[in-house]
Amino acid sequence: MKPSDITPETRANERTFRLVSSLLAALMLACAVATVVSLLTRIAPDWQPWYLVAFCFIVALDTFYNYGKFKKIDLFSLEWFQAAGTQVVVLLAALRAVIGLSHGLEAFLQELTAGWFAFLTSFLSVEYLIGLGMCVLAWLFSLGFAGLFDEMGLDAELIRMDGYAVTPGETRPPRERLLGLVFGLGSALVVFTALMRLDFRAALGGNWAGAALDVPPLSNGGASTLLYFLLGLALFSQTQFIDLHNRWSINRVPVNAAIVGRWAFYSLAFLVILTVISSLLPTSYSLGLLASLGYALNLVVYLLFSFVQLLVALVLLLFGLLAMLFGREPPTETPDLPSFQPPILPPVPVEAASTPLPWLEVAKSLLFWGLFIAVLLFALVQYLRQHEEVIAVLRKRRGLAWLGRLWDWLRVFWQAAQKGMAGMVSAGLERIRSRQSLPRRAGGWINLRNLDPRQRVFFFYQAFLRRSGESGLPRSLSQTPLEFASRLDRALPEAEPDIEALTAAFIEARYTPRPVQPEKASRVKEVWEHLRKALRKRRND
Amino acid sequence: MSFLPLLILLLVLAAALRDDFALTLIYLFVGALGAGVWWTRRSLSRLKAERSFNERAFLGEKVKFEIQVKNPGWLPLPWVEIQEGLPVGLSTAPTFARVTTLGPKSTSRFEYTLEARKRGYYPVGPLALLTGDILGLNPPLQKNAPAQYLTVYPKIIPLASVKIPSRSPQGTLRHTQPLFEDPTRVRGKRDYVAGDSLRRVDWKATAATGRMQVKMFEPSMALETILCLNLNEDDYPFRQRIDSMELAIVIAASLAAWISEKRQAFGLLLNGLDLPGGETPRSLPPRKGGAHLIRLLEILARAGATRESPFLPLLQRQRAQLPWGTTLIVITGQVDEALLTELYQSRKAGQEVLLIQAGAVTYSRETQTLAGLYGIPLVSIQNERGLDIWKK
Repeated sequence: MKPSDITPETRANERTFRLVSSLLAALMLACAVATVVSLLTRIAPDWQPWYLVAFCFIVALDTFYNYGKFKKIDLFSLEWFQAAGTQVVVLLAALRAVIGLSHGLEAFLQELTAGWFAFLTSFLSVEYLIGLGMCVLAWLFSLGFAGLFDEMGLDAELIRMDGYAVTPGETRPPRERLLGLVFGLGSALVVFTALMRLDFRAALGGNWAGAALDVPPLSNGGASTLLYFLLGLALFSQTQFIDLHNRWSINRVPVNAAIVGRWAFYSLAFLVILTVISSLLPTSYSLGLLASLGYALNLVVYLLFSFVQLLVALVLLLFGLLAMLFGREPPTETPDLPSFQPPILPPVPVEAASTPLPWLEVAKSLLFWGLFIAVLLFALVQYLRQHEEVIAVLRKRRGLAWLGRLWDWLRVFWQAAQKGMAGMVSAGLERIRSRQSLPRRAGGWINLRNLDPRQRVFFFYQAFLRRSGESGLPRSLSQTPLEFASRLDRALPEAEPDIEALTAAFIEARYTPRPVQPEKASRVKEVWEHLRKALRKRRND
Repeated sequence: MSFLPLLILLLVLAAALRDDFALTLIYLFVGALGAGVWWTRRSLSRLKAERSFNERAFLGEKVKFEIQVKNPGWLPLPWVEIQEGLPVGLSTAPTFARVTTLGPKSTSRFEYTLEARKRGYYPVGPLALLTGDILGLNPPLQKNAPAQYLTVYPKIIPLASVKIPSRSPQGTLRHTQPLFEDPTRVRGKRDYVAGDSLRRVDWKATAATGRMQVKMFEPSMALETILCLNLNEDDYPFRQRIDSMELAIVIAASLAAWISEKRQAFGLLLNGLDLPGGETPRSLPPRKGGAHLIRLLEILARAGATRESPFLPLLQRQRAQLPWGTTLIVITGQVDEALLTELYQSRKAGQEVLLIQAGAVTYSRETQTLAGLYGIPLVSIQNERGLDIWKK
């Protein structure tokens, strides 16, 4: 394919990919800067450098915009020095201007009109140096993102050229590196956010219980870090599409045009649902793990006992009614059953005691611990699935071989349980569906319209057997369809092709999984009509 | 799993600080991963793919394949890659591939066409359905629909008149020898002469003419034929082996079609391989009819050559079970004395024989002479044009 064969639509898609990816990455970097600024404001409450968020966002956008242009210039050439130098000078001056303006217009004008020495000393303030450091970091991360986007979203022209092939390199694929970059930066942000939720004075004083500050989840950098990860997930969806699209383009696989729009819609819907569910799940607990487990066990025993009590009461009622038939009075008093107290709600901690519904706190704790254990198990299983070598090492160690066996047992047990459950559910559903889909009989007749093609073939064959029997050619129980057909061939030589055709259609419908087409069922009907005439003629003779 | 260290960090923070923020993030990540796995597995398990096509085709016919991928569930599939393996003998591309998206309770249909350009039994498929989660955090999953088979019948060359010897009386074909008169075919009447059987007397004509009249019958024959096809590689010249064997199959198919057209019974006896399973192909006893012809063509479509199934022992075994008067049409490559001896024994046992040598023939004149000595008619057909002798 020639480069000229690339449609304007493809080029527009490529441009849209670059634009959306760059915008997402720039927003992520702005969120990261917001978390760092939150930390800075906590360290120095008098300083509020929120303007850095917007400034770093613009720096990131500028980097993405100019990345392609810089790539075309030779590194350290005169042209490169001119372009890079201009950018750096503009960046330094703009940052200084923003910092100066953040103190007010008058203060900034005074700074400008002061002597050159005073201006120079105020130019290189601590505030400016920190801001500059953050801008440089934003620029470096933007470069990293831009490079990865460039590797992933290869030129449509290059991909579509005949003979293009991807050679497996030694480095990790760019998308994996992108995941690493997003999660690496995200880990640092999580640490910063956690630091903002610690009372250092209490921690340094040895009071660990009071070290954790009780702050709302979205304050102290929580909102920006959370938004960073949400945008990261959106970026993963975007890059996943590009990764797949490139693979399909390389292999020259035609792609449905509707996929682009639907991908964006499903990604958005998925992320919205995920965010809503995550925000609704319990993030705190009133009961400890053991207390919650004990309560859950007690509840199960109580329910079982209530069920047994109900059964016993029903049996006694039945006996009482039978006794009435023989003229005896039914027992008025039921025997005393051992009483079982419902589980008593455990004492709820003081802060939750004011809640009017203590069972809600218990339910929340149960749900929380259930989710917590599920998350732990899920992470462990995922890790072991992707690191089979860990299991292999465990198997070789003498003392730890049982861990490997335990893993095998758990895996087999889980698979069997999953299969069994799925089997039970599908069997139940199948039974319900088969009841619903049974052809309705009106007055004892089968309605042919309600039968599927396979069932229609069965029907015609059964009718054929019945008519043959009536014509003095019954099929014995030991005869296979083919044996029966060869016997009939001798008795009705003129109908041999029809007998063969009907038998072959029946064998195919009965003993192969191949779908029976409606046209085939119609042909079988025609064959059956011929046979019916032949059998009738024989009967009349 | 790039985010496992981050997850561990979050779990530690959540446990140490009892922090809502860390737990919300844990839910977000595990939810993204878990929901992705669940979504992909569930959608893929419900996904149904069906391939429909005419499973039998004549040579040169274009076969249309339709693939229908159905999502019966409520969960949409953002992307599904469909890859269908195509038979090398019928297609230049190794696969038919498409990418689509399936909404809830929706269906996608794809079509492609293959030209039945060579006899054979071809697997079409398996059909691989590949899908994955929308965030790409889990590896894609695949589901396969099994392959189906396309049977391409051998070429049939229409023949007009084939002179096949027969000794079997009382059939539907007219015969020149008065030995095989058919009492159902009255040719005329003549005056009675001494020695005529009373069964031949036409009493009505006798009463009408006042003289004894006897019926004259038309001689006829039944042509119960067994086509004996040799597909043993060693019996064909090395250089033209493939072409010669294909020609032998074309001859067998064309003769069967001609005999079927004449409403006569025909059967098939062959060695070689049944291609899908590599087993010995089944032989067909003599029968009449179009359905029988289709069965024979299917066996020929699937037949392949072998070196492990010599022809002569098979012929020796089967010949003895054939009834008197059956005509054996033996289609082979090389003709040797052992084969001629065996065929001579057949003739002595009351069976008729026609020997057809297919493909490039070596020592044809010597072979002709030898066959003449044994009294076995031999026809040599070197290519498809050689069948023109039976087209007139």
